[in-house]
Parts: sequence; structure tokens; C-alpha cells
Amino acid sequence: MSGARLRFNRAVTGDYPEMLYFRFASFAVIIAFAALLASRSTQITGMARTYPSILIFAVIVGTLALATKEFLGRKVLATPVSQDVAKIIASPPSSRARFAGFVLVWLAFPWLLVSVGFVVATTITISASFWLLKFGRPGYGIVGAALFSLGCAVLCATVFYIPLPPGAIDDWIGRTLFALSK
Amino acid sequence: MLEGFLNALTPTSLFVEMLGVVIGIIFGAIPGLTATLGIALFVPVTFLMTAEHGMIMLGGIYAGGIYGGSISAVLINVPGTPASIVTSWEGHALARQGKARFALGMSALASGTGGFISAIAVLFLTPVLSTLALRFGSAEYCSLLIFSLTIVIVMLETPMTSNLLSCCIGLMLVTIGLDPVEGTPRFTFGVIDLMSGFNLVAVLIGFFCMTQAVRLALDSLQKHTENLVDFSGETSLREMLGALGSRIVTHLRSTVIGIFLGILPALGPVETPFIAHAIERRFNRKGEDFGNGSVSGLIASEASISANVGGSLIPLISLGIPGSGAAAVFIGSLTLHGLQPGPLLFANSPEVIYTFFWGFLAVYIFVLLFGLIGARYCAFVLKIPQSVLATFIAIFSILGSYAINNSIFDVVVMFGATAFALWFQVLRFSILPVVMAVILGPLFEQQVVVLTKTQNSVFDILQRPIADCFLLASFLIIVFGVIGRMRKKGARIKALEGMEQIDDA
Repeated sequence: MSGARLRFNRAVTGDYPEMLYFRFASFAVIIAFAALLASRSTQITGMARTYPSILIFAVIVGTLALATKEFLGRKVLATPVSQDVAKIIASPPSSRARFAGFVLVWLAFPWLLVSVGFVVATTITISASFWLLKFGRPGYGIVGAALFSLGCAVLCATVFYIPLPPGAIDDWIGRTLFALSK
Repeated sequence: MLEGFLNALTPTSLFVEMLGVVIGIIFGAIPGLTATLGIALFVPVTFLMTAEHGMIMLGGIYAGGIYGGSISAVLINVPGTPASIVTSWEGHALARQGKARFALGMSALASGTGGFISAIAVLFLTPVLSTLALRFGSAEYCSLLIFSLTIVIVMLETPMTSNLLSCCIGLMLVTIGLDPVEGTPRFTFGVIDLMSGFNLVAVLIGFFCMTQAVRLALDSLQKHTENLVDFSGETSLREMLGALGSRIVTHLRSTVIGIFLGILPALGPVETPFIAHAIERRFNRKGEDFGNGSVSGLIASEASISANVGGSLIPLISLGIPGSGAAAVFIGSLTLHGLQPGPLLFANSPEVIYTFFWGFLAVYIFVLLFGLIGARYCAFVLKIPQSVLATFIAIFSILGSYAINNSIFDVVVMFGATAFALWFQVLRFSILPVVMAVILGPLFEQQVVVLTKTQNSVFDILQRPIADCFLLASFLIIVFGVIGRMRKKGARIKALEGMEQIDDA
């Protein structure tokens, strides 16, 4: 690899040359998304089309210009790689697995909400989150999560009037609160 | 007016003022629960009170809710309300430097005094200032928004090209949904939930709250057991007053901006701190410190938000025009109490209106007191383990997004925004231009369309002095910004060449 190219790689991507490919892949994603919107904009007419069309054009041209500028190695004075990414890369595999688990648990939460209702879904998710992040004894975590979920369900039903996704326990709470209010 | 003053000082009035502020602060401090939601939830409670006490309580919730968002923003970098995003940049950075108590105190001081000044403006200038709002047409709106976006693009330390690209991406994303003028669906891909576009609150929760949960989770797994911020340092009231006194021009300028933007319909407490912060960054001698724990930046943000709350009441009371979402709920509650907002309100119910005005002034004294006294008790938040904070920020982010429309789609939008913000962080793009574009984009498009339909040529726009001033200022900022960057770049290249020569030797 030539000296100029090496210097460019180090400057743009810090100590992780694969970040360079990530940046170019990201630019490709932005252009692809803008192109998708551009293809859809043909179905719109009048003023509603003009404004987004200008922006789509600006995004495509801007991304291409930025990618070209980086590829030609003119951006020598870049800042180092993001601290959070460096943390993830530097952490041991077990921590990385737990972190991935944390992200997955919370991504699954909306699906769980719809499937089993608020109280059960929230108790399971918070308990799992505590366990993955190594907080205290699992038993305390489960009890705390269950109490929090029940408290939230009661507050949402009586104070905030927010209808939560129902499950068996949520229905029971609703019926009990209705009976108590009579 | 005197009768209103005396009514606002009765024990019942003082009690509802305090109650409103406390409820508001609690709502504001929890991510996802906004001041608007607080007002909406407590409208039925005001039926148990007289009209003036009900209005004072809602005013207290509004003011307290807007201030409350700053507490979590400063301590754990999670803005309780979208209005506190700018406060989190400056306040949390100060807190990480060991000045958490100082940052909380300053935010209370700037917020309380800014709101107090705006309350005085409401009291005395309502009829005069409301006419000023009527002179603001689409040309002025467009130029003001261009000015705000220009400042962010030029003044951020990240490369200007990437800032401009981020801004365009943000503006492009908010075109998804119904066209704001003609109501034509755009880029919805047949998804009905996309008709109303991405919900702003859900997007902002994703950008700022859920990303913080992810970061805290990462830190807790890395055994970062030290406190998020240092709360041990003592800060006296004299020190805070001194800091505010030495930045009085910043405070007054931001307060005036806040009041003025509050008077304008559509520019509420969410947009105001961004504009005030950007303007202050331009005028301040230490503009480069903004975003890294600048006291002036914190004052600009807090003073402008609170002043905006007062400012938004001016067109609401005098013309019946709501300046923000919370103000719109406020109008609804006035109507439910049998009061019709507008010029006749002063003639028909002067005792109610003046009691409310004086009560609103007292509300900001309570915000100031609760903020200053309560700051010392906020340290308990920092004793909570990071794993617990990460978990509860995640749950409140999800519940907050869900509660907006009781829709799982908003939760999905929130997750998408989180992924987007993290992606941009990895790319080393600043998320700020996207945030500005997402917040100001719909209004900008609306005004651009109105402008193109109402003005025949560019020369018509140039005949409007306010718009010309904003456009000229934008142009000058770009010119000076580019020159400044070229100088900095030249200096860094020289330094790099010097280092290479040393290496070669």
C-alpha cells in the first residue's frame, strides 16, 4: 500500500481500516435510499413533488461528492474512530455477547407487548435486561420488575388513561380496578 | 390589575401555583412525558377550581414541565422533554466536568429569570407584541429558518459538507407523509401509519434517550463504576449569580429571542433553544466552546425556552392563536371554562386574566426556588447503578413513544431513530443538523410553498427588510465560516508537515 493511501486510511479510519469500507457502504445506502424515494416521486404531482425532488437531488449529489472527496484522499485531517465503537471492539467477547443480548431483548419488547400483554412482557424484559447487565441477584431483579410493571399498569389505567396492550394479567387488573371503583 | 395581583397572592392561588410547578417538573423530568401531556391530563382537574386558579395551575404545569426536562438532561444526558436537548449538550458536559450542581443551579436560575421576564412581557406588552407577529410573513419565516440552519451547518466542528448533507437528509426524511399544503401522500409505500410522517417526539426520544440507554449499557458492561457526573462540588448562590451577571447580555438576548419566537405561531419551546443557541454561538466570543459545556450556551438554551413559554401566551390570550402544542391545549381548557381567548377577553374578564398574569409571574418564582433548592437533592439519581439507569431509560423511552398515539408504530420509529443516530455517530457525522432539519423541516416546506405561490419574483422578497437582514446575516456567516475553516486547516497541515519533518529527521 502506498504511503499516501496508508496515511489516508489511518487518518480517516483511525486504527480500524475496515471502517473505511463501512463509510463507503453507508454512502451507498444513503444514495440507494434517495434513489428509491426519487423513483417514488414520479407518482406525485404538482408542488408536492418539487420540494422533495430538490432535496433528493441534493442528497445524492452531496453524498457522491463526499464519497469522491474521501476516495481521492483529500480528507487527511479526519478525527479518530467513534469512542463507542472502539469500546465495543475492545471489550471481551462475553461483554459483547451480553451487549448484543441487551439490544435484542429491547428490540423484541414491542413484539412481546403485543403477544403477551404489558405486565408479563415488561417483567420478562426488565428481568432479562438486569441479568444481561449483571445487576444484583436475579431474584431481586424479577421481583422489582414485576412490581414496577404492576405499578405502571395501575397508573396507566387510573391516572394517565393510556390503554396498554392487553394480556391475561392486564385484563384481570382492569376488571379488579373497575370492581373497586364501583 | 391591582385586584389581579392581590388575587394571585391568596393562599389558594399560591398553593395551585406550587402544585402546578411540582407536577410539571415531575412530568418534564420523565422522558416521553411532555408538558403538553401534563396539561392535557390535568385539564379535567381544573374543573374543580375557579377559572383563574385552573389557568394558573395549567400555567404552572407548562412552566414546570419545560424546566423539569433540564434535570434529567443535565444529570444523565437524557432530555426529559424535546425542549431540553440543547440543555443536555451544555449542562451534561458541565456536569461531567464536576459542575453538576452548578449546571443544575444555572439552569434553574436562567430558566426562572427568563420566564419571569417573559411573564412581565405578557403582563404589559401583550397588546403591542401581538401586532408584531402579524407582520411576519412566509418570506420572514423562510429567511429565519435558513439563518438557523446556516448557523448550525457552518458553526459545528464537523466538516461543513457532511453537516450540509446531514441537514439535507433530515429535510428529506420529513417529507415522508402527507404534503403539508396540499395533503398529497408522499413516499408512504402503502403504509397507513406513514401518512402522518414520523412522529417528532418518537424520533427525538430515539435520537437522545434510547441512544443514552445503549451507551449506559455498554459502560455498565465495561465495569465503568464511577459516577456519571461528579456531584460533590459546592456551588454558592453568589457564584451562580456572578456567572449569570457576567453573561447578562447573553441572557437578555436569549430571553428576547425566546419571547419573540414564542409570539410567532409554529415556533414553540422545541425549536426555540436551537435557534437561540445557534444565534448565541455566532455572537459569543467563545462560540467554539458551545456544545462542550459552555455556561453561555446553557443560559441561552434555558432562558429562551422559558421565555418562549411566556411569549406563546401573548398571541394566545390577545388573538386566540396558539404558539405551540401546549398552548393549543391551553386554549381548549380556557374554552371549557367559558372564556373565549381574543381581544374581548380583557374587556369581558379582566379579573381572571390579570390574576392569571400575576399568577404566571409567581409560577416562575417557584420554578426558580424549586430548581435552586431541589438541585441538592438530585444527587440520588447518580447513585443508581448504570445497569438500572440503562434499563429504565429504555423502558421509559419505549413507553413514552407508545403513549404518544398508543401505537407500536411509534415505538418502531423510535428504534429506527436510535439506529440512525448510532449509525451517524459511527460515521462521525453530527446528528445536530438532522435534528434541526427534522424539527424545522415541515414549517420550512410549508412556508417555501406559500412563498412561491404568493410572491411573483425574487425582487418581491428583497423588498422585505426583516427577511433581507436574515439572508444577509446567513451569507456573511457562510463567508466568514469558510475563511475561518480554511485558516484552521492551513495551520493543521503546517503542524502535520512539521511533525513529518521531525519523523524523517
